[in-house]
Amino acid sequence: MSILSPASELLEIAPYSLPQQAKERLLLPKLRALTAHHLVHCPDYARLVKGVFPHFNPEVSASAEDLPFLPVSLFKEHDLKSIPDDEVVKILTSSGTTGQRTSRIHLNHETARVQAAVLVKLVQHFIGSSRLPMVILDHPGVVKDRTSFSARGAGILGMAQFGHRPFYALNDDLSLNLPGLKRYLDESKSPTILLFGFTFMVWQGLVRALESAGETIDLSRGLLVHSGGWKKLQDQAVSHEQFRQRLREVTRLEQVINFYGMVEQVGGVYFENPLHYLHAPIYSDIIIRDPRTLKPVPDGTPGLIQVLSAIPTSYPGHSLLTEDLGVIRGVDHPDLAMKGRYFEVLGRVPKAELRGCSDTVEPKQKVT
Amino acid sequence: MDTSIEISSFLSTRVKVLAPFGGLPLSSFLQSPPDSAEPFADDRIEAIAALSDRLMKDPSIRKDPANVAVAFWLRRANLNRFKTSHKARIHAAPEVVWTPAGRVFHVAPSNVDTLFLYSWALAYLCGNANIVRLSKQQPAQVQALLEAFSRTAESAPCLLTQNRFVTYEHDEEISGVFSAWCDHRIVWGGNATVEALRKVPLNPHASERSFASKFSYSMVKAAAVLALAPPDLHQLASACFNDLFWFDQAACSSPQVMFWVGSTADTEAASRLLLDALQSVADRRGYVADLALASTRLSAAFDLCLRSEATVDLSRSALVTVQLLGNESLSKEICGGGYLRMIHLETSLGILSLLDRGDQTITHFGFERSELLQLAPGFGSRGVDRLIPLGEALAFDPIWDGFDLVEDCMRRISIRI
Repeated sequence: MSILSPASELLEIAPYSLPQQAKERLLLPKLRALTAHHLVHCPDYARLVKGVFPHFNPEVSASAEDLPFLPVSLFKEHDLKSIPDDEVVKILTSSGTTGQRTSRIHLNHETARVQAAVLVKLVQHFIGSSRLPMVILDHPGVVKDRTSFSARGAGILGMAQFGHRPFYALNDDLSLNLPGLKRYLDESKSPTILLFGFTFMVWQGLVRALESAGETIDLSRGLLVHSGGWKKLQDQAVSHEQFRQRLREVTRLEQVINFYGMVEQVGGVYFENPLHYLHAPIYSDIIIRDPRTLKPVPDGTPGLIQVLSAIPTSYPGHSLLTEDLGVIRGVDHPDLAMKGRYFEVLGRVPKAELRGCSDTVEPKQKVT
Repeated sequence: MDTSIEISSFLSTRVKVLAPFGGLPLSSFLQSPPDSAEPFADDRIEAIAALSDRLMKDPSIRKDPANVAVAFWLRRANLNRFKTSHKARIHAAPEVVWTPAGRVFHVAPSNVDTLFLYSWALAYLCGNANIVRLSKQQPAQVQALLEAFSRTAESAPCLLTQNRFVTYEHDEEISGVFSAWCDHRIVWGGNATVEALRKVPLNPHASERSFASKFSYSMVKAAAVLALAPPDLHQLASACFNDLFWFDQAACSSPQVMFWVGSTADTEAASRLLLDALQSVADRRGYVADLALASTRLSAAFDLCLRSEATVDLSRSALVTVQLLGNESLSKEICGGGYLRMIHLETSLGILSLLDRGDQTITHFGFERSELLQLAPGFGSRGVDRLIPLGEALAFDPIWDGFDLVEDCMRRISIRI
């Protein structure tokens, strides 16, 4: 018999309605309760807290900064969960590039339910509660194999529930199905069209495809939600502003909302506010830590992003230290209806160059 | 078919000569006979000493302590020490005549940026012609060393005619040409490089010395640390800093595990003292852990805490320490970047069960000579071939992994009447 996710108590409150202080008063006891829960139900978690945070005492009321955290990379090497095997209803895996190990995240019914409910609250804040015609900027094959929930497939399936008649705008070879997309738009009378895709897919499959074909398409009715790593765009020296700008030039798309999240923290989803900063809803929060001392840094100072969430009961993922660098840009902005803390992701910590003895051998390259 | 023309064309397209500037093209260099130099000839000592002088004066070289160390090692007084010990070698066995091996092909590692220069200098001192293969990406400090070599060679013809520092992508064909050319092949760079080079046929007359991946330790007597006056503790911490943080703790001889020998109470107090002192040395020297490695070592510590009975200390920015409490087998993987595992032992004999043939150096502090002499026979045929004072982990020694690099680079002619 599984416990209720503490986040379920927050579902009646609008996700961005609480000023930071009021939010913390609600959130902190839930994070503490989750820490205590996982200490009891996940022996590996208890072992880590004892070994790494020996002074942490769940009985004493700790601040959010004092709560133990786990590095996200740990889920790549270990199956950490706080439920018996027969309670596992879904295992999420991270995308990860070829050759990398992927994280395995175990969900039970309760965690999956609350995660889905939270996602509904968050998305409805931006698109309202009616289901919109939806264009998915990916190929249909990405969700065909429903037994393997890749991060990309799971993300698309998660968002697809907010649209109806989803149209996959890319062909199997990832080329843009422009005639199909135009037809779909012509047939739809809705004043708003929802678009969703992973950032690089939107860039490559839509923006670059239209640019190189010298075509444009009218998506001025569109509301684009996109997510995913910025690495490939950074490599092409494309900033967030340039991304939106060039998207606007070929599609007339004005409403673009990025979000940040990771499979290791289900439901920990951070949508952009109107200032294009990522905004923490009432279910979750972030702390920025110095990458070397691991101490929290003041707002405005870049560091490692730690994510906190009141959702996960099935695995100890309520407090995770990511490998992303970020900076807190502000709290309770007076001009924003969205209250609470907001931040910016600056990029990924570079991969350690393996300098063991054995790296004089470079990959075999046949020179002809 | 003229094979030399064929070789010269692919060498010039695939191999880049990094130093010296000028001199014969590589294909002609390969065909010229080696100098008939004597081991430890004065002109060679002078040429290396001139390189040392140039390095010592170069402010860009001086910025990097590892470069200063190699410059210092190449100074005239140190080279003359080798000459003196060679005289002792001759004196001990007058019926043996030593000549250079001839041609030496070095494959340098990329985890210890300066090692290629030590390897080259010994072989060159012994009177050999050399080809030194460096990896494709040279950090700025290696480029500065090569630049200094080229400048020195402008006024030292023997440097120019007898040596080539080259780079090329891993390429068996090219390594094959150099391996056929040489009389002795020295392969640094650990297991993967050794395995890759072993596949490349070596001139049947040539010998080979290869250096596999190694793992190293520190061993500290807790009571000796507790007995230190503050300035001496600071000095010990500075010595420890060099061992741990040069080359991002990725050299074969960089300590990965520190054994604390003594009572539980002593080792707890002593390790705290030394690690805190180490942190202040790091602060004073402005050491900042590499960002990527800071993340890697954190993951490694959490991971180890799940695999072994351990406590992790994240309170110092210079290094993450993991105290291992159980008797699980010790992983010999290297993380680097300030990641130190610690093991408490009642006596130094406790290390014996943890050693294997991949082990190389133990830097020690606080032990009597007699205790170390008693300990060493227990290593048996397993690893560890250096027991040296703390602070000297990365000091280059011509006896490496238990092999004498100088004698390797010479040929012995036995004379019996």
